[in-house]
Amino acid sequence: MSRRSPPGPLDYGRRLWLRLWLLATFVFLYAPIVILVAFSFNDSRRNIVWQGFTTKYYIAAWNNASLLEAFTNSLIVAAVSTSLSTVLGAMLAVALWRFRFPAKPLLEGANALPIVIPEICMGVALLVFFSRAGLLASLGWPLGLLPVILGHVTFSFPFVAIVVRARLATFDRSLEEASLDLGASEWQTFRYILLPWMKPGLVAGALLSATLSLDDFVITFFTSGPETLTFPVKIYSMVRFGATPEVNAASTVLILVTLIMTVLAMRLQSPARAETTQ
Amino acid sequence: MTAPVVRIEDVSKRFGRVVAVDEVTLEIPRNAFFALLGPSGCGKTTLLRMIAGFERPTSGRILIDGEDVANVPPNRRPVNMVFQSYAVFPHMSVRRNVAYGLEVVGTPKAEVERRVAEALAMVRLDGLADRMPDQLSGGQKQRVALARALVKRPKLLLLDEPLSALDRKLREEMQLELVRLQREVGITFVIVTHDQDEALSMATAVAVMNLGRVLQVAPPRELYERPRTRFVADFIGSANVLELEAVEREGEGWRVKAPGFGWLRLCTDAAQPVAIALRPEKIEHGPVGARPPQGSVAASGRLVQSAYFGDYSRLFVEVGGIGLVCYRYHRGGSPPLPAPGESLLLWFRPEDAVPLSA
Repeated sequence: MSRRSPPGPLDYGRRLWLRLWLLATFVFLYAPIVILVAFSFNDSRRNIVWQGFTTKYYIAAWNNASLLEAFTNSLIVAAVSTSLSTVLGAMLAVALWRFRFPAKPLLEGANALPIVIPEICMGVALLVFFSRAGLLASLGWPLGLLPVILGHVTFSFPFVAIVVRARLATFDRSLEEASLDLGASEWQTFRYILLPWMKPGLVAGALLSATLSLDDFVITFFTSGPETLTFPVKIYSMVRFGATPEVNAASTVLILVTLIMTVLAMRLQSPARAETTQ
Repeated sequence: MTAPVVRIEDVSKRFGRVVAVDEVTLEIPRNAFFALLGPSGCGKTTLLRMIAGFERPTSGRILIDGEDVANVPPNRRPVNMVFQSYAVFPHMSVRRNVAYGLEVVGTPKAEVERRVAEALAMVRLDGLADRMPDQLSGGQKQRVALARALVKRPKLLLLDEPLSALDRKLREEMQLELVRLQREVGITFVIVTHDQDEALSMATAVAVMNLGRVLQVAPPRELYERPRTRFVADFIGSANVLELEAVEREGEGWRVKAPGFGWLRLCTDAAQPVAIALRPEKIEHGPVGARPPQGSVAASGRLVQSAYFGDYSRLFVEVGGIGLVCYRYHRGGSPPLPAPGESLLLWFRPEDAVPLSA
């Protein structure tokens, strides 16, 4: 019965042209990824024609020591830089939200700078800076990741700051006053009232920062040494000698990791869960 | 018991050039239900926030229980507040909200549990202890905020426009509830409100504020019956304010000339009046030719308009070029309302005219 009625003024979901448009958008966005994943199971050296199903390239990727090392590097860099930039970004956000001080507009501008500055410029700048500071090449494996990590923190903590600040903007200041009024100290108020409020912003900011770090190419390319390749840089060097399904397989794994992280973050943020944990 | 719980001495607060509170001196008696009443922007909330410790006076002193609290931060003051927005912590259950103020100061667990249960019972929320704030109605959130403040057993409970966000029915219910609570716990309540009905029906004493100053402090009845200034007369209830045309000293009181009504005697030892206030219900009316009782002052006027309110009507009458309001109560057997344009006789007893000195 209700299917017969014509679509209402705001019933956009029921208009045919809009549905087609939506479909086209999804195809445009996801077809490359679907093809990438599909061809990781292709039993062929070349990535052009479908030859049959296989998982041998996953095994090959797993056995490729340098690829695995790059993957590990990427995870380490992402984990460390995300933790650092979440803390730094949150602190900056709270400072900008909470206090009034003379150089505040300047600091706000400086905060946005790493976001708008072209990555290539930042990569070169960091390269020059690190080589002047003697941080490049001289260090062995785990410490050699330091410049990459610092670089990633530099460009990702402003994103965290922006996300957390947006969350803080909706905070009711009287909650803070109520907490003080009830006898809590400034620290207790921060810990029990403000921090729980910031949590969704912190999770979103950390997720953003991890994603940015995992797939960053340009800045990493300039700041990593030969022994400290990350996953995207390694893939790039592999692709230069022809895209094998091994690359597809490795990329599929990366997509999976990102997907799992996103699902976890969404689960953590869902209101139903927030209620049972608090 | 007779010492006031709060003394405010010459307190002023300026925000830049704006004077929010202007040299206020005020005593809040112990166990009172004290109302700060005034239009929005009159400085009443600023005064309340200075008592709570969220604002510092620009000058003057605030003493709580005889102690100057200038350097006492809000978390150390024996004062708790119910915020206008309730400020119930959204990520905590009702129970945790109420327990918060005890837990942060390290109260033993068993005592916290007992006192929280007591406080929740007091505001009749016992069944909802495990609800989250977003599952509560506005009235219930209000009760959480109350319980959370009362559980601390403060010397003073401050309420910032506590009922303004509730609908009318709930508001009336909460008014009674607040009065009951205040009697039960024996804590001094200070309520900020712009609603005169709220102040009059709940408070034992009311301070009327305007433009940062306290104009009059009195029990509700006195405030209504004997306002001292035009502002108070006009703000509390409705009043007809008649500017006096002439004032003469006569013995103990004054002989004054009111427009339309002519000369009358005011028995007052107060300062020289500049105007008189007449409550609408104190003005009687009748047809032209009616005989007002002995000693009353009468004038004839013309009905401009009447407005029907169910149990009564408001009559807008023009007397000697000024508009007056009086009431007609619809009792059984009352004569029909006069039509607009008809002439009427108005009269009142001189002792019902309230002299205003400013």
